[in-house]
Amino acid sequence: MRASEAMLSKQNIAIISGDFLSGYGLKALFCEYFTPATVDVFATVDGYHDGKNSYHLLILPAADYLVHLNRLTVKNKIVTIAAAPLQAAQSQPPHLYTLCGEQEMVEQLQNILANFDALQGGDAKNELSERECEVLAKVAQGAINKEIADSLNISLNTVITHRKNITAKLGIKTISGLTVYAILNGIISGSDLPKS
Amino acid sequence: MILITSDLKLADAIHSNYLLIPVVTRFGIRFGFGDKTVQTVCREHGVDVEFFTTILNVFSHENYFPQERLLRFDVMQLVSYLKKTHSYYRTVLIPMLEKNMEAFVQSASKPDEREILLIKNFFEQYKRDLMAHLKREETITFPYITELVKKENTALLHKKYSINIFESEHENVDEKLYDLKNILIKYLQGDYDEGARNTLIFNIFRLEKDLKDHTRIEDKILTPIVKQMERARFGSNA
Repeated sequence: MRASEAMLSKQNIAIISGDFLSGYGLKALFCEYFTPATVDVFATVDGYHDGKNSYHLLILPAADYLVHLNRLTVKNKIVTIAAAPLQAAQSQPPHLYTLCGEQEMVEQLQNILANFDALQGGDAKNELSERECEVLAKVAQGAINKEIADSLNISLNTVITHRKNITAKLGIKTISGLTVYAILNGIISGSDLPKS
Repeated sequence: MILITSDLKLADAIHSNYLLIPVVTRFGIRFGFGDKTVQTVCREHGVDVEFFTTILNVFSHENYFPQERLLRFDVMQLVSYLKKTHSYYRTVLIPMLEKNMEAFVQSASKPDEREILLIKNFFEQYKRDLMAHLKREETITFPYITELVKKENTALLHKKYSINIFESEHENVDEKLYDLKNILIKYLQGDYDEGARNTLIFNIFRLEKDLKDHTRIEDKILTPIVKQMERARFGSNA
């Protein structure tokens, strides 16, 4: 647990819990096992908003998360609490479940902290890098991998890796789909297209 | 979703998964069947009940795959069902999507804007691909299977067509539909009617789901049966 402790010593944690015992219990667990900088417990989301709002980690009930989704500031890493394990949906924040013993609870907290950097506040960063945009532009103009490698002065394998990443980031697999995306986003203009 | 058995009420099967509605229709079964069981309705319509429940279950459960039973099916019955599915895409789903797309385009504040035309073109491209794919199956794959069944030694058998070719042709068509969906959901901005866009996306999901199940039937039922026939006919090196 050394790594988490070191990392956590700089972190401020906010817990929103209408259930005083849960909130207080979580705070006690954090303090006993992980020594964070501060842990503040709020009874309501409004109370949280009145506070200083410079928390690194925000823990709140799943129901509150859904209701107040738009008001929660994105810079916070958000974790929700529910009684039982939830089915994981991709876009949902990670969650803690409370129907478990002490050991399991501590393990859950440990997990959350270990993956701290991977937690997303809401907006996943799926933007293309500059290089990926260049590759995408070539693909959309109808270039084959070999031509892209030559014109950008990179290896064929690098081109293939870029293309895989582009497809993974955008959720678009076909060349014609990528072309539509490239035009919609001004990566190429329609006049750059080869005549078909 | 429940597992569909022959003693289940057909109405309950549909309540458990409304996406089965067009599948039931494809078997020529008309609605208004009251509380009759799957078995009774099938008997009245001259439908093979075992085949019917298997197809319904393949549609409802992604991992449903009773291999032994599947390999016993009459392959021509399967081909006839697949042809009906094709005709459903041609006469119902695709025309509906065309209308949805047109309504969406017309709802835009500038229907001739480049962005909108791009989407429309992409859809037209997809449609052409899908139609060509369906046609290839109807003019090559299905006749090939018929020839295998009749044990005739005709043109397609000589050209060394094999079901492996059919298997490899399946992927690309699905990918374009997936892209179209993502472009509409994630990337297209602009001024058009939300309702028209939602209807369009919703029906793309429907087509995608139906096609996916259709492909699964072709890959997991039709292909193994035909491979078995090929082995019987040409020996193990076919």
